[in-house]
Amino acid sequence: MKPLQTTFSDRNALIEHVASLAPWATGSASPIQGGETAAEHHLRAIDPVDYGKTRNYGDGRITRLSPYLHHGIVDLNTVRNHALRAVEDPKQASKLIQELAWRDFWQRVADAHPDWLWQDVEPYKTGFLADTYATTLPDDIAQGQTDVACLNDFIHQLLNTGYIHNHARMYIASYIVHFRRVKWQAGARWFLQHLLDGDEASNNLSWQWVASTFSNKPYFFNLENVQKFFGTTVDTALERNRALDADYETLAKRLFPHGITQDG
Amino acid sequence: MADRILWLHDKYLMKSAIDDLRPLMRPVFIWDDAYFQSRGYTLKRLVFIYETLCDLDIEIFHGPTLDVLTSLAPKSIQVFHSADTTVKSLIAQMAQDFDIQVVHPAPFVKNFEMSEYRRFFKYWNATNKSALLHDGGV
Repeated sequence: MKPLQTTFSDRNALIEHVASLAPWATGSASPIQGGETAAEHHLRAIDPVDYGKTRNYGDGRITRLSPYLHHGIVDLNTVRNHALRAVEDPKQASKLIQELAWRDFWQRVADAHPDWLWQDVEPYKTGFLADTYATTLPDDIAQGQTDVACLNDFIHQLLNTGYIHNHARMYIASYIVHFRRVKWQAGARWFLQHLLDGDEASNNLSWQWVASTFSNKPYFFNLENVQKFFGTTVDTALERNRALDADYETLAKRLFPHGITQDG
Repeated sequence: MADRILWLHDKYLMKSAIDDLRPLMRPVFIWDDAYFQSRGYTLKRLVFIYETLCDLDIEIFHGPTLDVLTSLAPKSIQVFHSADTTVKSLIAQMAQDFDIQVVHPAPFVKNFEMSEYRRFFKYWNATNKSALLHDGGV
């Protein structure tokens, strides 16, 4: 049996080779490159202190290591040790290390409870029963053609690059589950297809966290929040994002008219 | 060496870990259309994976995983652990025909047995001291 080719004249030649191997695969290549060299580039750029201060912002100092972590090109231990070497006091790296710990937590949960990956771990705390949520993802969301401009921008980033900021993932997940009342499984499946770092454990359990089937309450957001964190990177103009424009009290009444229930 | 295979899956492609085992076994990745199609991977992800494989100095074979392994006829197969259910299922299928040994990479936090799985803060309260140490402590 002859092994496949592993050396290429340039990236385009490699992309053509992969496309010929997988003619069934949709889309085009991401500008994000795989491999250890690319991972090391991101590793060297880690600034745990700036990460701690800016990680929730669209233009914040995030690591962009998640595709490399998901495919095991680097591991959590390597990133943690690198972060610790970059600071004088380990506490300065605690925010970054806590995010790594979330990934470790999700993997442990998945290992012990694989049935939790696609089933609701707990009931929704939204005042709605699970069977009131739609089972399929609406086309306007899948194509990035909703009536919410900032979400369309995030979705186009996802479809074009295979990567979006974690905070943006939470917005999209919340919009799908709580604003459009679609089961988290439909959104999770869609994310897994398009994210370079799509990981069954981190992805699905995070969707459940947003949905409230693996947390105490549903996660939701408003336009003011998107404007604060992503105002410089996506379209947050009021006239193109009206569905999100409300204070949290008003939005909670609109999204959860039966009241948010607590799991005690 | 050739009769011992390190079967690589797309959830653990660390060059240093592969290099550590390379003197003892033959690292192999199987480009399995059915596996990738079952996951719905787009070309973006496939290119990312292939670029990674090209960095590893390994053999890549094209075909159904079990068929390729059968043709390679290894005496034993080592595989890196993954929590991924599709990979686990594939390993379980392989174990029906081959001697499989699962390699567990070093844990992120040490001396910790998780018993409460529902809330992160309980995990974090128990592990944060270890997590903030180089290599997760001793």
